[in-house]
Amino acid sequence: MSLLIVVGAILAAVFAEWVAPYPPEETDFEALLASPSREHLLGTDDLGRDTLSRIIWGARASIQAGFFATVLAMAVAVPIGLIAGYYRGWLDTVIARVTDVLLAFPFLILAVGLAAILGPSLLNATLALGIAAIPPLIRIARGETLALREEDYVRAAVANGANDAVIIGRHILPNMTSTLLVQATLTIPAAIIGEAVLSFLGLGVQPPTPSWGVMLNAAQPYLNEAPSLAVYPGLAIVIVALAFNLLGDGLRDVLDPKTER
Amino acid sequence: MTETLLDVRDLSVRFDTDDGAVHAVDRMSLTLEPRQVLGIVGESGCGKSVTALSILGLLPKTATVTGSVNFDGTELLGASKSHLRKVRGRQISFVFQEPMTSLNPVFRIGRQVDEVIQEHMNVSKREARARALELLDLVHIPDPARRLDEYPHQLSGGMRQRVMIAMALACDPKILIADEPTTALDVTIQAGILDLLREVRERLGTAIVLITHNLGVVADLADRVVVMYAGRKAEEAPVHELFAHPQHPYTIGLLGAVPRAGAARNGRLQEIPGRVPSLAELPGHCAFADRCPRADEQSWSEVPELREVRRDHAVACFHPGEQ
Repeated sequence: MSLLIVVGAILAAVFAEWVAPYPPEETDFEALLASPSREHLLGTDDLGRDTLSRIIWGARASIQAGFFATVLAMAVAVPIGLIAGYYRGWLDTVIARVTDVLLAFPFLILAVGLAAILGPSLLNATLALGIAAIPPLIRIARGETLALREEDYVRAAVANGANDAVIIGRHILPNMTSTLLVQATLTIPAAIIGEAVLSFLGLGVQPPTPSWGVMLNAAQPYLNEAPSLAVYPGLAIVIVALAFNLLGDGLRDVLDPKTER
Repeated sequence: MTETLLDVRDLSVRFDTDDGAVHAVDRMSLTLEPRQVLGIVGESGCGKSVTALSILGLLPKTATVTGSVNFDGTELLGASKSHLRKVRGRQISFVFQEPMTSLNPVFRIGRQVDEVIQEHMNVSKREARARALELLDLVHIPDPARRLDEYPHQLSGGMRQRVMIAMALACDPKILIADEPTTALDVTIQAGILDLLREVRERLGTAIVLITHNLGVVADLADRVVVMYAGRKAEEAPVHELFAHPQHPYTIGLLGAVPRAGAARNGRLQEIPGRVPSLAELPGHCAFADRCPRADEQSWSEVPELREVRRDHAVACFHPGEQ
């Protein structure tokens, strides 16, 4: 079920041009703040823009941010975690302590701070979210490496002459992929929510480009007259984030032999 | 005297821990000739594995190793990392105790064997695979072609240990160090693995260092035996000599503790009283004194040095003798 929603959301985002009934910025002055009707399934906003179309287009920003932020965080965090965990020594101590310090900041605070420094745009919001997601991933990658380097097959490989690159690339990394995959599916929804927050605060996607956060922000003045304007993008965020989370849980159950099914 | 393949002289290993220095190995000397099987016997924690690991520089950084390890004319102690890497697996390989966890669970057997081969020899993928088949065949794995495509969890413990041996033999090493190769396996499988090791020695001429706490395994396979106690060599002799004329009271105690069918009429195995001394606080006297029926004043005041009491039979005891 969660997989269906996730796949559906990704497809909607990728093929927004064809899926959405209207272009996201097309205004219909005949129907301002319209209720749901046959022409506008979820109604329209204050400028007569179709809410459904904007949600579909908004999925693009959200999923882009969620996906690329996670990829960025993984690309930076995993090598650092591997190196710290494998070579230990003073470098590991430094990395572990810096990570601990950064972990003291809540994810969103860190992301908001970084986005404020970088300046508002989808790219910068993605960067900020990606950077903010690095510390916990470093910790996980490092922890896994620490555990895996003590495995017998790693010791056997060392004893039989494997070099560090082979050990890290062939023995340690492949054995931690399932953990990383699960962590990725949990990082993506965090980044999706993060993108909505940043856009809502005006630090992410800029209006009139649609994004769920932007739509929530724009809906604020009309909460009384047209609450549905805030409800639909809010629901979209909840459903997609929840779907990713459940997918992560499901993946963990499948990939982790320790949990009983 | 024949040429020596591996010559370990006065090897000492010290671990510096928070609780002080631990002398895991104290002035060990070993020699290994081509095609020879050397058994190293002792209780858990007597330093036998540490000795083996230190030969290839596989100990953690907290260990301080002194002495000399001469392999085929080159010194291995303090050799560069890259030099050691060339020796590891290629000239001297290891087989560990735990076959169940010594294979990487995420790759097929074939890929793992291929990789070891490609790492050390300049061959193509296809040649590596051919060699992998040959190796599995060598270690008597039935239907090797199918096994290559299986994952480690699909194999039994004995099969996995055979795979480990196959990987260790990938580059025709001169020495195979087997650290408790059969301890984790049940008895019938043990015999199979020992037969395999014997065959390896016969067919490939590989010298084997066999580390075990099981005297039965040594009696079965080894040419020469070193008995270790508390990081030191207690006794060394050719295998028949050792079993026929054990000199050190510790060796005699170990032999008494081997179960034999029909031997123990009173239904009880002989045990050695007391326990192994902590290596952190080795005494200034014979380490075995408090467990030894022969201990006297001298045992309690001096450390016995190794001396030859019979032809080619050395023992570190003030009161050697068979009874």
